[in-house]
Amino acid sequence: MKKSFETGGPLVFAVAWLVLAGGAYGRWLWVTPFSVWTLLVGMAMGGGAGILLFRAAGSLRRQKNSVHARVNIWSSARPGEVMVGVLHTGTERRDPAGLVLNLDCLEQNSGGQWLLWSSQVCSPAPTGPDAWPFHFSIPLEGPPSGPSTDGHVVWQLRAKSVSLPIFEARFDVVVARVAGPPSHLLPVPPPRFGKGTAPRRSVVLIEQPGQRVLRLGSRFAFPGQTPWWCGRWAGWVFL
Amino acid sequence: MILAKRKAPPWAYGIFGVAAGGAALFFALLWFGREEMIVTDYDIVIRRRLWKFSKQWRFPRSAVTGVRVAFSGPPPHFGVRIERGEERPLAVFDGFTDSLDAHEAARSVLRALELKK
Repeated sequence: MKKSFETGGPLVFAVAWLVLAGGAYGRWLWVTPFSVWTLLVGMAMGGGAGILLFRAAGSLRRQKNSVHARVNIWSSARPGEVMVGVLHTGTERRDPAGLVLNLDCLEQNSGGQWLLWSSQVCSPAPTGPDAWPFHFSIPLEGPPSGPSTDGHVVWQLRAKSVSLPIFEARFDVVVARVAGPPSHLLPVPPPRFGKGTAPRRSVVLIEQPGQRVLRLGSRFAFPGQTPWWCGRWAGWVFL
Repeated sequence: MILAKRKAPPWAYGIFGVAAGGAALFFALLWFGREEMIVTDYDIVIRRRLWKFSKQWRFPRSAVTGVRVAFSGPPPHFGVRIERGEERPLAVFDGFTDSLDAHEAARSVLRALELKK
């Protein structure tokens, strides 16, 4: 998947603030005698510039760390289906607060860029050294990528570490609408999202002469190894 | 007020017993019944079975238009839907909290229906 970064938005804001607010402040100082009031305004201006520069530095650090990021989409990203994938951050540094991911549907036309739809999920923990699984539910009404009636539709995946300046990247995702019945599912199994304490579902396929029987079963899943005293029958008692 | 010991007529016991047995069977099927899909050469039988008792629905095999995994409730609850075109799905194997389990189940369904290329 193609990766692209933010276009230095925070840095542009910081420079614009310094030029505009700094210029206005200088002009004001030129025509006004120095006082406590002008000092307070100057401190506020300088503080704002500092905050913006700090944000820009954090963003640049995130992007520098994310050079080797890539995303692996496991499912067919189609409207009405679940998009499952893994984000490889390319760094083993992990944010304890996790990653926050956004799937955005944008339309670019002569009037500019419009956000048609957006969804946010959180990937709380990695499943590998740098592998963060995620899933999105793409709405059935979602427009497919490519030319639309008024412009061009783009689907993008944005990912950012929540608390630490570790990771930030943006990927282009292709959402295709295919005519006909629903897809015949995934080419490869998607990642698992971790273990829960709920009984895990399973399907048992039994071949019998002239027919195949598919039975929906369930079994317990423990956070670690299943204790020996829970035999095979343990999951049978409950649905 | 005179309190008298009353005795129900014998047929009432019979009717009550049959009704209670029916209700017990209904709830036992509902709670403990195993969901099964039987695929034969011509049709598909979806049934909920408990020991000798079952409630079943029969469909022609041609009714199936596809299989997909979708959310079957508030996430993370996935279900394997056996689709029937624009109509409501033929069956939903639901309650999967693990996406991998749901997709593996979907692959088993595809194999059973011989839909996989």
